[in-house]
Amino acid sequence: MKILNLIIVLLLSVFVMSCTERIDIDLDNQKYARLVVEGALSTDTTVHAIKLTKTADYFDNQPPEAVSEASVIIASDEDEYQLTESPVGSGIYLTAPDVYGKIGKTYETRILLKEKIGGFDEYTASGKIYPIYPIDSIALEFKPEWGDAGFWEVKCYVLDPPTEDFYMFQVFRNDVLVTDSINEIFVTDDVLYNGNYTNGIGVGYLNQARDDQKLVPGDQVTLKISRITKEYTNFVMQVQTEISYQSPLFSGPPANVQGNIDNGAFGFFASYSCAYSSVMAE
Amino acid sequence: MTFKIRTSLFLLFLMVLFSLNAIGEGDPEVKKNAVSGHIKDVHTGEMLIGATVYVQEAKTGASTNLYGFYSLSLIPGTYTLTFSYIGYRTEEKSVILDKDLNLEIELSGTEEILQEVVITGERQDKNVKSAEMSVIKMESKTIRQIPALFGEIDVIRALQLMPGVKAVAEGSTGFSVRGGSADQNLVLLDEATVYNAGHLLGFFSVFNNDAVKDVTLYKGDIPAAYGGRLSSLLDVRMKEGNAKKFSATGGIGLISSRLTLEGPIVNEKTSFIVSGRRTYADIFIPVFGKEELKGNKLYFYDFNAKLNHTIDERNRVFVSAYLGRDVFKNEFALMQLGNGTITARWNHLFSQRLFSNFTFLKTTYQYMLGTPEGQANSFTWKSRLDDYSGKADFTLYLNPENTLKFGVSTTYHAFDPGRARGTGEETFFNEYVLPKNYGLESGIYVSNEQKIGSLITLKYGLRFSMFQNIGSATVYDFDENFETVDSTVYAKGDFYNTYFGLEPRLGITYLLSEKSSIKASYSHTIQYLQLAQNSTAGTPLDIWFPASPNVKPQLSDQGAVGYFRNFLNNKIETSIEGYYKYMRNSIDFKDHAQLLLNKELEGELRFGEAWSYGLEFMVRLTKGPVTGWVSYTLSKAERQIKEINNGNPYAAPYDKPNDVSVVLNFDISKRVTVGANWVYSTGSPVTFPTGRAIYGNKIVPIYSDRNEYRMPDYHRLDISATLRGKPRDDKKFYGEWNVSVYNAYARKNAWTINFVQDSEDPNITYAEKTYLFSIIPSISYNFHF
Repeated sequence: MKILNLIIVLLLSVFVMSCTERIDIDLDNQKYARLVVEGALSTDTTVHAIKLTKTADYFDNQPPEAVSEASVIIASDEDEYQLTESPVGSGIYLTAPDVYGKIGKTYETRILLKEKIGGFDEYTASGKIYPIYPIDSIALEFKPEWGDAGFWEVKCYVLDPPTEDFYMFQVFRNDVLVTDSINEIFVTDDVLYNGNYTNGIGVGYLNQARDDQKLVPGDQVTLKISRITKEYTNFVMQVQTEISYQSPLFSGPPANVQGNIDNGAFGFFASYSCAYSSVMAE
Repeated sequence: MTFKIRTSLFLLFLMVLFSLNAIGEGDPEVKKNAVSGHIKDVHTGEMLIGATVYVQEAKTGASTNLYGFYSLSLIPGTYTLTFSYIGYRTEEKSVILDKDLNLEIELSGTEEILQEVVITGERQDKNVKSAEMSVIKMESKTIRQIPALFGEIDVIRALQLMPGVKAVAEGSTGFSVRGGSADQNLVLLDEATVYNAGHLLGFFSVFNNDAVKDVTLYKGDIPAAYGGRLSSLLDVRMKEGNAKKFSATGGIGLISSRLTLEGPIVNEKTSFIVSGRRTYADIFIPVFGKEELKGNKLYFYDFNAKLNHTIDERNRVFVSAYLGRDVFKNEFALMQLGNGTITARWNHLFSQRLFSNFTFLKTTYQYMLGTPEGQANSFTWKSRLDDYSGKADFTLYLNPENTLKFGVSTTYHAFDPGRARGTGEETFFNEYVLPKNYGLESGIYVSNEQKIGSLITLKYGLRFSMFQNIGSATVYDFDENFETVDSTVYAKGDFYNTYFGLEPRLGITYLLSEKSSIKASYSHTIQYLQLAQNSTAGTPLDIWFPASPNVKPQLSDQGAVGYFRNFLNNKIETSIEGYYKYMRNSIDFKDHAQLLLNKELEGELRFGEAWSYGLEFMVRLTKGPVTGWVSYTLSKAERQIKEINNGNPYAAPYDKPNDVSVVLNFDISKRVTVGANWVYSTGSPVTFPTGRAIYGNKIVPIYSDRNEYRMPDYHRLDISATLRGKPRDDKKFYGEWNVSVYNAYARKNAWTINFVQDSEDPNITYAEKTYLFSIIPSISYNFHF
């Protein structure tokens, strides 16, 4: 339904002559600091990371404080992986490069902090990995009328299984992730096309006015499709809602994002299967 | 349940007996004769609503109803009747009342209907003496004098300047009455419900002022004849059309043009009015030089039509219709939406004392949204709501002391909440259909307005209302966490759920003197339909949904007291009203609710209590070169819902504790009028972030409690000047120029406040407000011939 919101905002922009201006707002400090967890385990055989930081006052205007020297484990009923902080002091905890998530398994992350944050030092979260169909192919279509320099649309051809599924799409240009911020990721349910062959649905857009997204002939465009959980889909959508433009017309009351970490921590430990397909720009 | 319905109906029956008993208290031995008829405008034949007839000898009176009809029963004798109406010359008639008498009255107003009228009526003490309180009545003329955004005169925007009525957002024609939600207002156009009273995302209302005759807003004391909404009734009546001569009224403005034609057909017995309005902002899009906007469409239009025919003195029929559409189109999307209503009415006089009106109507609200065809992911999405209604209303003018009203109504609602499907030839979309559902909403009422002596007027009424859900339907069952656990399917035509209730309405007016009175009222209202609207201003895509096994009807109890005092021979009207309103089964939505295209919408609802209270002060200048009013409202509105804000009370979205409006018009000369209005209100409650987390390279806010903060205070000044053509005796054509400036001192009122991540340094965030309208001058030309 995200597309619909986009359409409505476009409609609005034609009519309303709105202007923006910075203002000073006096905000209270946060009541207490919370742990922030950002991590994932996918079916790719690679280094998987979990990042631990702390929340700050809204106008803190500093990089987030890393949470170091924690014990971080990812485990299923068969496997257990200890993550190591690398580099030390960064709050980023990594697996060995040969680790991968297995389809059908439920993985849990267990975090033990050196010092309590928000009253707790133990946190857990878990998620299941569901199977994914391979992508048939992808294609590129140029939309010259969109934006100042046009957009390349990444079209996906894949069969959706008859179950209720949730997807995340990410686009790479020459193996570099273009959609590196959470607001650029496209997540969707399959309500409108459940069980169908997605005959070239647009799942990614490369803005040709932006240097990091501009395509030249010979560039390789890769689409990563991940089958994620319903909870993660909701989490990403909620984050996207809360960081996007809010207006009295289209936005509900601001509300805190619901993650899957217990004990009041913010964030998500995601687990998903993924598939890739590439195409050469012409 | 049947037992309860029986009990309710029994109570209603008792109420009728009580009323009849009260009526009998007069003097049953003396036979009375009735004088009745209509009061009309002599130039146009328009029926005058609320015109008064006063009997000097008997020191009693009556006023005309919504169809211009009056009736008075008096003991036989000779009487002098005085007929008067604001802005019209008073007429006196001497009558010998030895039998029932029909007396049709025509009052003459000023020559030019566009011209500001001089108030000459005699009974100017309505503020003090009428049995109603918490009522705002506005005439098309008053509304036209108020400076308007883009020069578009707007009924609802004028009402927002009254105490207790607040805009839901800057520029919006959505309104909140005494802390209630926008969907708690019953908006009627010639008796038909208008489900979405806004155009262009709510920036304009659907009411074309040229076609509007009379606007009444009941803020609390809703008459027993109406029900179905908690907070208010906005009753908009369309003009009947000039029965005397053909005339045209129109205007050309920056945003839209209007044209109204009216006149008699064949003879004075039949008249018509047709009125149209269309905006043309899209026509100017190419002028602004935005090449990429070419081919875009963005407009709305309204079309009102009404035909009325007087069969004889006892029978009159009316057919009125409204059609409005908004059309948006650009390269990505197409959207069309609008209301349509058609109302057929028959006024019948069973006797000089028993007036009746029968109404049949249909109303529709629908929208369609889609993307251009021919793409694999092209789709359309439609939603619609239809009402079919029948009503019978009776007024029995038993004697000057008692006016008894009773009637029945029933409405069949058909909801088609949404259907989306792919339109491309190679579409991969399934059709996604929210099942249709149906409801039957019925009411039966009786009320009496009773004068006790010369000082006390009582108004009491009882309404029995009922709502039934009709299959076929699938009803989901939810557990305590609002997760779907089961569902039940009901067959077509199955009345699978019934709600009903009694709605007492009470009012008392006590005259302290000729110049002052105190009034009190209590009303209980029940609401069976509501809007799934999560944003404060709402969008045209919000859908209406009914009470159901999962959604109990919303209930409201409101009490109000007021003191009313007129000064300087009724030149200055003042009032103070205090109210307290308590609402149960109030609805709010869970965090991040998904309200559109959601089969399990009811799982997104959260229920609790809401309350509001306030004081409303009003000073109104009714005569003289300077007219207008100053109003001030001090109020509070809160909600408490277990699953929201940790169960703690929070400010309702429309809670604006201080609210001031100043509206003034100054007639400098016969040809020049200047007007100004200034509004001030406390900023709306808002939720702001207090903490932040970094996730996915973005700063994600962590919020305060719900509505813990306030937007900056809102204030604005609008001014206008009207320059009328030179008056000449022989002229048929009349024209006037209107120049207005909205937001004259260019206050940048925040429409919304966002927190933005700095593009240079992603660790820095700052607050940014969006304001919609800076200073907006506009000019329009209006004519009449």
